[in-house]
Amino acid sequence: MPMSKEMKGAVVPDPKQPDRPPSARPAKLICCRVMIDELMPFLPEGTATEVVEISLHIHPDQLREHLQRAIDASDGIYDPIFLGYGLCSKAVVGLVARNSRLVIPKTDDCIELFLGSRQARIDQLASEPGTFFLTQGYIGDGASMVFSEHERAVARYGEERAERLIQTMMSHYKRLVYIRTAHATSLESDREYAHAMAARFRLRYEEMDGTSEWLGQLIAGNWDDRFVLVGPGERLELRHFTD
Amino acid sequence: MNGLEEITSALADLEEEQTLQLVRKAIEEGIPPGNILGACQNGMAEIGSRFESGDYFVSDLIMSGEIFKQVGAILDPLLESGGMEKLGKVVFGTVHGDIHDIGKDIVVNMLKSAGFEVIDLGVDVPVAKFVSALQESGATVLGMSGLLTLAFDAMKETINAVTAAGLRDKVHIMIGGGPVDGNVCKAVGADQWGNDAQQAVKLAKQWLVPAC
Repeated sequence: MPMSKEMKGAVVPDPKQPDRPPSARPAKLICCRVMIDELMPFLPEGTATEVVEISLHIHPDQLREHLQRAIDASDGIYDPIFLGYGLCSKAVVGLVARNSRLVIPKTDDCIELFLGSRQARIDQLASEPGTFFLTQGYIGDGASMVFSEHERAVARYGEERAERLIQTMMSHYKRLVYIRTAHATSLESDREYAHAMAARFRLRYEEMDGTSEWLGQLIAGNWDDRFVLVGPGERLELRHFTD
Repeated sequence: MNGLEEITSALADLEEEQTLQLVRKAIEEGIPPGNILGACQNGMAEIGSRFESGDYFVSDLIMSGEIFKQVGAILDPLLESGGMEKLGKVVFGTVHGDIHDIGKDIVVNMLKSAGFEVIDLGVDVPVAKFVSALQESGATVLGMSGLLTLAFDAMKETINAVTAAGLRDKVHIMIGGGPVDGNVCKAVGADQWGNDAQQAVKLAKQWLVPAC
């Protein structure tokens, strides 16, 4: 693809320095697989994109190292670098680009992001703290982490013990909510999967509409107080997500 | 490999039946229960390392907790009659609005395996329950866990309630969970924070075991 097209599609203004011309460099997206399907519709054609596996979340330190390597490889070449993540158990704390800006939604995780706001998350947890959320992104990666953990446990411990372990893991969950994300393409099969999981763990099943508006704003460059923007050389800190 | 090393190794390998068999055998052979517990503590520490290095998964940690619980059921009566004293009491729970228990359970197990008496209040614990557990048990360490930044408010509320009950000077407070750091610790009014179960054990020892 010709470079000029890529640049034209992804040039983003710098709201921190409105007098300056927009960055002459193209933007890049580094994102978790859980949200790529929802981000794609917003991405200008030719935007450089790197998708990272969900499973790295199990060890936040390893996820951080992986993301830092991805940033280092893009640093100075692209600007801004969008991070399709939330705080994710501090996995993003400490990330830095020396010659590019980093922009990331100011959220604990993708569930809050797909629900649309922190308040929406608070409301959901107030009505039922024991809620397990699923989205297409989770299901699409070959089953969500807990449920694939079960398959691993069966292989290691046998059906009976694995059952005991998974029931222990799920013991405080009462409700499974399938969030219908805006660009979900496999609604019927996801619904079937989510239903089956709810039945399997005796959880009340509910569906609700999600939104990808937050992600749209990320790519469009409308970085209000729902985003964290750090300049070149500035580290992402926990306080950016909590202040 | 001696009997105690075998126990450590079997537990570290998460061999449930073998671990329990070896523990019973060690008791029959007259090995002091405190030494058997020590071997199990080493096994639990090894499990923690294997998780950190990515060899073990969350279900393995839960499995280790299950095995350790059973070992505890065998050893506890012997330890008590043998005059083994607990290192001190710790009240622990996941704050209200949050039901995440895996990390909390790992910390509770590690504290127990290190010799502390832990009053585990479970998850989604109301402020008043933390306070009454401290009052009733006389525990001087409080641990709170939370996985979302939403938990910070609940931690702060709980600490304020501990203060209002006149207990703050008597109780050391640690917090932990995915999004916690030193600034959060200060902001909610806790004394210390930790990233993992080993850190929780270290803090409890600092506070409750003067020699440490």
